[in-house]
Order: sequence, then C-alpha cells, then structure tokens
Amino acid sequence: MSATLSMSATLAIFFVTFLCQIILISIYYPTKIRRRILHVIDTYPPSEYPKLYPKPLDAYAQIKSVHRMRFYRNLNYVIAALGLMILSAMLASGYRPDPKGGDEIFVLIYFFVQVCPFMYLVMGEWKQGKLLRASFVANKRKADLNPRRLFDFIPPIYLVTAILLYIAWLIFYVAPRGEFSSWQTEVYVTIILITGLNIAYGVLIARYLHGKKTNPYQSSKDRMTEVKFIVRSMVFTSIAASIFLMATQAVDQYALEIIDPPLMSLYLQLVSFFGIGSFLQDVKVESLDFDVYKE
Amino acid sequence: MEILIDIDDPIPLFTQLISQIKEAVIKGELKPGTQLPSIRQLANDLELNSKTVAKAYRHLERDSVIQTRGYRGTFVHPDAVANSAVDLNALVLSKIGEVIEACRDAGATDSEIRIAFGDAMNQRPLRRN
Repeated sequence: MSATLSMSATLAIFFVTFLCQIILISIYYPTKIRRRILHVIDTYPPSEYPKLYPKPLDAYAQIKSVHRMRFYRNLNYVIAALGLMILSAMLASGYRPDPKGGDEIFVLIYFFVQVCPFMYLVMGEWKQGKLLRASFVANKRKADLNPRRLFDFIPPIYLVTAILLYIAWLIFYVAPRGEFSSWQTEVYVTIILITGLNIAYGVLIARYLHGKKTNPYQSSKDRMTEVKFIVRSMVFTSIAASIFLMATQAVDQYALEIIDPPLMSLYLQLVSFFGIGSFLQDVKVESLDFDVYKE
Repeated sequence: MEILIDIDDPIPLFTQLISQIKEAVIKGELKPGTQLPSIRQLANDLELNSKTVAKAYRHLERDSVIQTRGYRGTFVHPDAVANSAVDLNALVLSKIGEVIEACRDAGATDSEIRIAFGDAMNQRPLRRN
C-alpha cells in the first residue's frame, strides 16, 4: 500500500519541525532553565538559606557573580548554531530525504547532542542531592500521614489510555508479522525494549510514590508536586511513545517513510515538553518551600 | 497531617508513632475512615525500618484504633476516638503494681517477685500481637 506526499511539502514540514526542535531544545528551554537556577541563587542566598548550599560557598559565589552559567548558555548556543548550519546546508544543497526512510537517525543524533548540556545539569542536580543527603543530620523526622495513591496524581483515564495504547501498539506491530516462528530477532528486541521502557516508567513512578525522598529537606507539599510531575510526565511520555511507534509503523505500511524525519523530530519535541517543559510549568520556583533550607 | 519522630528521644520509635496517631485521632485531625499511608511509605518517609512502623500499626490495630482492609489499605477505625483514650500500658502497669503490692504485703522480697514474674511469664504460652 502506498500514498503520495509531494516532496516540497515534506521538505517544508521537515524544515519547520527541525527548526522548532533547534529553538525549543537548544534555546528556549535552556534559557528558562538558566534563568530559573540563577533566580534561585539570587533570591535564596547562602546567608539566609545555608542548607540549600552543601558545596563550598565559593562554588555558588562563582555562579552568582562570576560566570552566571555562561558556559551552559554558550554551549547551547553553539549546538543551536550547529543545527542552523545543518539546516542551511540542507537548503543550499537541495537536500531530498531518502524515500526509503532512514534519515531520521540524523535527527535523533542531533537530539542526543542537544540533550548533552541538559544531562550535565542533571548530573549536577544528582550530585547536589547526594550532598544534601550527606549534610542532613536532623534528629527529628517528619512525614505526612496522607497516603500517596497513584490516582491522586493523575486521572485514571490517562493511565488506562497509556496501557491501551501500549497494547494497541503491540498488536499493530505484531499483527503483520505472522506467527511467532517467523519472527526475526529484531521483532523480539523491539518488543522487549518498548515493554522494558514502559516497565521502567512504572518502576520510576512507584519509586517516587513510595520510595525515599531524593531531597531530605523537601516539604510534604513540594514532594506531592514533584510526584505529580513525575507521574504525569511518565504516563504522557508513554502515550507519546506508543503513538509515535504506531505512526512510524503506519508510515512504513503506506510507504511514506519520507516523513519519518519530521515525525521523529516532533516526537522528540513532545518528549522534551513532557520532561523539561512540564517541569518548568508545574514545579514553579515561587511555589516551592525554601524555608526548609533556613538554619 | 504530619507526624514527627525524634530519634534521640528515649521513648521507643514505635511508641512515638502510636501515641502521635492516637493523639491525632483524639484531636480530630484523623477522622474515622481516613486512610493512613502504607507501612512502606511511612517507613521510607521517616527513614525508619519498616518493622518499626509495622509494629506500631500492629499495636494500633490490636487497640482497634486502625483497621486493615486487605489490599485497600489501612484506615482509622470507626471507634478509634473512644479506643484511643484507652491506654493499655497504663492498665498493665496498674495491674502489675497491684500484684507487686500484694506480694510485698505478704512478705515476698523484690528478688522473689522478679523471679516469680519471670516464671509466670514463661509458664504461659506466648501470644503474638
């Protein structure tokens, strides 16, 4: 089965989505993240909130008054410039996506480059959490007597949708491949990978719901906000992954592999939105309780 | 509603948990039918061994302050307010106190009373709470 889509329309869609990917992941979100971190350091100084700063104070003073995370900002700008150069080169050279597909791998590789600065921040956040736990010496411990139930954080309809979409993808993926005996290794690997990914989302949700706090100073209210963000983010990412996988499957079925690159770019932007975007939107600095870091 | 545990307090941790939950029930902060966190959640939040929380829950269940409804979780008992006022420790202390006084009046030494108490405990089959 095949369907047609004009080359110029495909190219236009791809250039627009790839441009959006560059702007969203390498300019928009990094700018917001940088502003957020600097805002915290400027508004909640070590003199008033000493527990928030487990590292030697020089490290924070450097960020506050010397480098202001310029390296992080510039690194993202360089990656954005690289993306724009790739886009310009494509335009100048009269690039035509391979009708048999496969070009989406370059979109994915560029995305991995884009998330490198973000992963650097995540590592820093992880180290900060480790130091906070090490510096936590309270002999009095508090806990909320309210149970944290999954459906307090997400309406059941979303979770049911995620599960049904996963099953739908599985059927959609397996159905055209005939009996078990005719399956190639690739089919098993894909099923194991996607199932494993969904299980990992579930484990992460369970860990945040019932596990230990990552930040020992965190107030109960902030913890609820964090859990809500994680639960929603994981469920929506699972929904997006199932839809994306079914879409790519349908694209292959109808011999429309030419739109794989913009589809991949769109999916990666959605993943970033559910990860970084919803964090910035749902976990606002103003709503967090910083009094827990006071002496 | 929050619970506060002092790990430096000489009062055992499970007793602190029991008394705070009972206090919250008496004050009306925990209403009958309210769901309580799971043992695992509370143990992780307070960074305690889950056996400590389980022991506190067992004692509260024995006293009919809370009730476990299978997989649905643990809830505050419908008669929790009345049952929270009953202090079993105080009751045990008063009963044993009466026996000790009676034995002393009869001329038994403290050492004899301690040995007899140990023997009496050993002669009765162990009851698990």
